[in-house]
Order: sequence, then C-alpha cells, then structure tokens
Amino acid sequence: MAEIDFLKKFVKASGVSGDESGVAGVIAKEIAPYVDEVYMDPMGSLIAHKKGKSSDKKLMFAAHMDEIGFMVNYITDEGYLRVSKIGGINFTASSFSHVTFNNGTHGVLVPEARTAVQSYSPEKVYVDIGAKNKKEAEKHVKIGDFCRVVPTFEKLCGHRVCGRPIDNRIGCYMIFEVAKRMRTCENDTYFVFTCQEEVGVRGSKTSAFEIGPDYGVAVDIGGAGDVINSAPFAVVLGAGPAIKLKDGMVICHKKMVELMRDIAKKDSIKYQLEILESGGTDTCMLQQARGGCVAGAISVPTRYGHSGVETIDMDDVEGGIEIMKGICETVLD
Amino acid sequence: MRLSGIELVKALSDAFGPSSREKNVANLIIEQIGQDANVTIDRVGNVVAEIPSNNGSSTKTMICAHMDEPGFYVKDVDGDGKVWMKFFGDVPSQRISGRIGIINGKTKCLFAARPIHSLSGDERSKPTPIDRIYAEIGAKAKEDANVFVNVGDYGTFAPSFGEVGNFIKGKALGSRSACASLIEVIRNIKANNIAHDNLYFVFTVLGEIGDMGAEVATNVIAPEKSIVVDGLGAVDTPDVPQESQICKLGGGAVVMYGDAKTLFDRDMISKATTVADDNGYKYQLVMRQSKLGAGAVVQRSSGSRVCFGISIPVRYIKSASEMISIEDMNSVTSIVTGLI
Repeated sequence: MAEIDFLKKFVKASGVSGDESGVAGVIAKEIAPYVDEVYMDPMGSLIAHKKGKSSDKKLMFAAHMDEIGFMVNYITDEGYLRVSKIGGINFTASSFSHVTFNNGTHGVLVPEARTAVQSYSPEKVYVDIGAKNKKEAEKHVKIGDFCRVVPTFEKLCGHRVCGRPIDNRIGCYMIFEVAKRMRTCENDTYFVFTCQEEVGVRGSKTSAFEIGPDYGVAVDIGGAGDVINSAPFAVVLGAGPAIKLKDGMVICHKKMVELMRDIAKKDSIKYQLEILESGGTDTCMLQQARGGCVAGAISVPTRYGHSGVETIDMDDVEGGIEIMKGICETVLD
Repeated sequence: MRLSGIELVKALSDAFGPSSREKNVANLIIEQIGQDANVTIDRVGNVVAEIPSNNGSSTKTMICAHMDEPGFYVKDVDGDGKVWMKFFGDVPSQRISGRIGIINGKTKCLFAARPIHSLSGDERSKPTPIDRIYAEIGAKAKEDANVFVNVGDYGTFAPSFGEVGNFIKGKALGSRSACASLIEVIRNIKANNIAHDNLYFVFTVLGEIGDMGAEVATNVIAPEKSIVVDGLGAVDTPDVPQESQICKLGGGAVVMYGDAKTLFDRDMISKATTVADDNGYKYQLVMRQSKLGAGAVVQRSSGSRVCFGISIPVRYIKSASEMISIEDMNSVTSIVTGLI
C-alpha cells in the first residue's frame, strides 16, 4: 500500500518535544504544494495556511508532531547516560529498548541491575551507548542531547498497523491528507503541526493564540476499550474515528460535534463517540485561544499508547480524514 | 549611591521584599539603574527598564528576574503576644525554627515552636508542622505586640549577608543575585557601547508565588525573545550522590535546557555556550525538570516566543542563609551581555 509507505516517512522522522525540526522539515516539504504558505512559529510549530474561497472564518486543524523521548542529564564516570523523561514515558515499556540520537549514536535503555519492574523510573534506568568511560561517551553525546526509542512501523492483519510514534504522526498524516484531498477550501484554513504537546499542550497554546481561530479541530490518538482487561470504554478499533465529546481538559463545542456527525451521516462514514475521563490534547488550547473558539477533535482509536507498539486501524484513519475534509468543504459562518 | 559587585548584592539581599511587598527592592533597583535606562513601574509593580535599540532593529528582547523573596504574612496575634503566620514561597518548615525574621522590614522576631524537651518521642522525630511555628517578638500580651505587629503585616527572614570563604551567604540571594546580574548587564551595555535590539530589563513581582508579574510583563511588552535569569538550587552537599547534585557552586553559570514546564530554545542554548566557550566564561549544562521558573509564562503567554533560561547556582535555597559564588554570578552577567 502506497499510503503506508508514505506514512512511514512521517513516523520515522525525529521530533522529541523541544526539537521537532526533523519531522517539521519532512512535513513542510510534503504539504507545500497544497497550501499558499508554510512557516514556523518561534516556538517551533509548523503552520501551513490556505486562503478560503467563500468565508473569512478561520478554521484551524492541530495535530502535534512531537513525540515522547529522553534528554541526557548526566554522564557517569563509567560512560553511562542518565536521562530525564520528555513527556509521559512508560518506563516498563521503554526499558530494554534500542534508543537513537539525532547524530546517529545508538544506545540501549536499560534498568539498573536488581531493579523490580514496578520500580522502573527515571532514577532507575540509564542509557548504555557502549562507551568505555565518560571521556569516550562525551565524544558522542553531551548533556542536553535528545534521544528516543528507535521508531518502528509494521503492518499487522487486515488494515491494522503498529509501531511508534504513531502518537501523533498519524494525526499529522491525517491533516496533511485533508490538505491534499479537499476539493474546495471554503474557509481560511490553517493546518498546524504543533510542537511540545507531549510535555503539556504547549505549542498549540501559542499557535492558536497567534492564529485566533473561529473553528478548531484537533487530531490525536485516543484510547481503545477492546483490549484484554481494559476499563469499560466504548471505543474500539475499526469502528470508525472517534468524535471527541470530552476529555480531562475540554468539553467539545456542541456545534462542532454536530457538524462532524452531520458530515459522517451524509457521507456514510462510520464513527464512534469518545468520552475520556482524564488526559487532554491540543483541543483545550484551541478552545481557549484568545476570545475562544468552536472546538472539537477527532481521535484515532489506539491500543498500547506511549509504547513501541501503538496499534491502530487504517480504516479509522480514512474515516477521520473524510470527516475533516467535509469540514473544509463546508462554508462556516 | 551607585553600588557594584559584592556591595550591590549585599544591598539587594538585605532589602525587604516579600512577594507583593517589593517596593523597597524596586526603589533600590531604580536608584541603581535610573541613569542608564528609561525606568517605569507598571501597574502590578514590575520595574521595567527600557533601552531603545541602537542597531536599527525593531526586535524586542526581554531579560527578566524576579525581585521578591519568600516570606510570610501575619494571620493572628494571640493573647500572649505570640505572632502566628502563614508562609509562602515554599519555605520548608525544617528551615524556620530558631532563625531570626523581620516583620514590616523593621521588627525583628525569633521563629519558635514548642521546645524539644516537651515533645513525646514520636513527635521529636518529625519536623514541626509549619502552622505550629510562631514568631516571638518579646511582647507580654496582645496589646503590647500590636504596637509593632498586626494581622496582615508581611515578613521575611532577617538580613544576614556575609562572606564565607570563597562564597557569600544571605537571604533571598537566588533571585537578588539575578537582579544584581541584570543591573551589571545594563551597565556593561552602556560602558562598552554594545549594539543591541530594543531591550526591556524587567524586575518582576510575585515570582515566588506563580510568576504573575512575569506574565503581565510578557503580555504588555510582547517581546520576540526572552531571557529568564534566576537562582537554581545546587545540592552539591555531603551525602548527595554526584548524579543528583544538579549543579555546583563555583561551577559557573547554569545554562538550562529546561525546567518543569518549559523546554528552552535550542538555538539560544548553542549561542550561549558559544559565547561562553569563545570568551572563557565558566558554565555548566543542566537539564532539570523539577524547578519551577518563569519560563512557562514568558515563553507562552500571548503567543509564541523564543525563550532561554540561565541561572546562578544556590546552595541551601529557600533558607535564611542561601549561599552563592560571586564568580558564578559574574559568568551569568558575562554570558547574558554576550547574548545581547
């Protein structure tokens, strides 16, 4: 599948929160032909703007392009690296993993010997890059360097794929596809690939402030209730994209929810409704930008979030792209 | 009087300025920089020193440090003339009893608690809860006490500036040494005729209780670029493993990769280290995520901006006797001057 190969490019680009330039470069190059202008804001979000045909209302899509990772904070005399976590790291999932630095240095993230699985934490893990001592390690890395678990992307049965960081390169792929596929651009539309979402929805705050959208749609991964021993949660893989009603930081605007549902109904797109108890996405920052905006979100049902094996169904992704494309083609008032 | 070096730091450290009562510190700062910049006080009390661009650039750069210090306000004066307080600015209760404080910048007090010999074995092993610490001003009764101290009055640790070998100690040294550093930067610019953008040196209020002053200044000035200067807790003390020491006194300026809520701009970090390497200024690179600083509000209030943080290492931070190295402070001054 050509789309899978294309998506792989987005997934494999580097972009730990705070240094998203790798992935921003990849996306900027791909989206440029489909929009009027592409630029970076001072904090590092990538903004692709296309002028509207019939409405001067501002419509902003936000998908965060950063990924969780680590930053070197100390180099021991033996040449091991201690790291700070960047974003919501699951240390059980990240331990015994290959990690990679932007300069090509490779390492393994491991727990200290004799550490119980339950106590894996930033203080109890370290990165071994194979250096014999501090001096050799310092030839390859320095304090402040980012690293991340090596990206992967594999096809599973049917239309399902797994890997990392699906969170949230899949959202980047989706709004990119919207820009590419929309037949008309009715509204003044901004496709924003936000930075620093994983460390507390920071980049979307500033880009939404600068743009001041009237309508906002965030795209991110969501949870899935169809895994063994899951808490009750009525979202499953393959039943369509999830239209967010609420999460821990936002209650979506009724108008946006209705608009998404109407488009889905009209175009016979399957969808589900997401009601999340905790956690948050860029949606809350869209909603609260300047004087406020009509905000909502599309979530891609995802199993095993923040691990190396995040799993999604491409059918849900397609449905999400189609709903957002419908929004672009609707004249908003 | 124009002060510099240790004299300047001493005056700033000794000045009375708990959060929301920063006036004394503000006046002292204005006295020191009034002739070198256009100085105003904004509505919330921030001291804003503006130096217009001399290189044709319209870029606005803000350099800020907070001028307030942790302290307390008086919530009750009891019948026996004991003063009960509410502390703010994360003063740890273990660091209070037995120290000398000062209320309204005038009345000395002794922080006290129930004597150790009257505590049960179990109570002895625990720190006194912060709300059971009171201030003793030597009054016999409430009426007597009220002549000097009333509910709503503000206080801090008492001035205790001094030199200790290679280092200096005193109250509020973390933030005030940052203020001193900014003052020296302003003078460096004038003295060396350095080309610069529109500069806004802001000495902010309310830094110990959530950086509201910095947020207001950011919103009003709307700078494209910001440098946040502050103190950073150093735990290079006995019984702390090397890896947990964060930064070292005498190790030079702390070039920060980020704090609890901010990741700083990578280009500014490389510029700072280049300036330091080229000129032989001492620095240490630190990634620390637990410190709360003004970075978050300065980077992200009203839009997006390039933000950078640099700090002076402080031993025994938040205590009556914070300790710093004046050389570290000078490194910060030199690097910030170089960045401008």
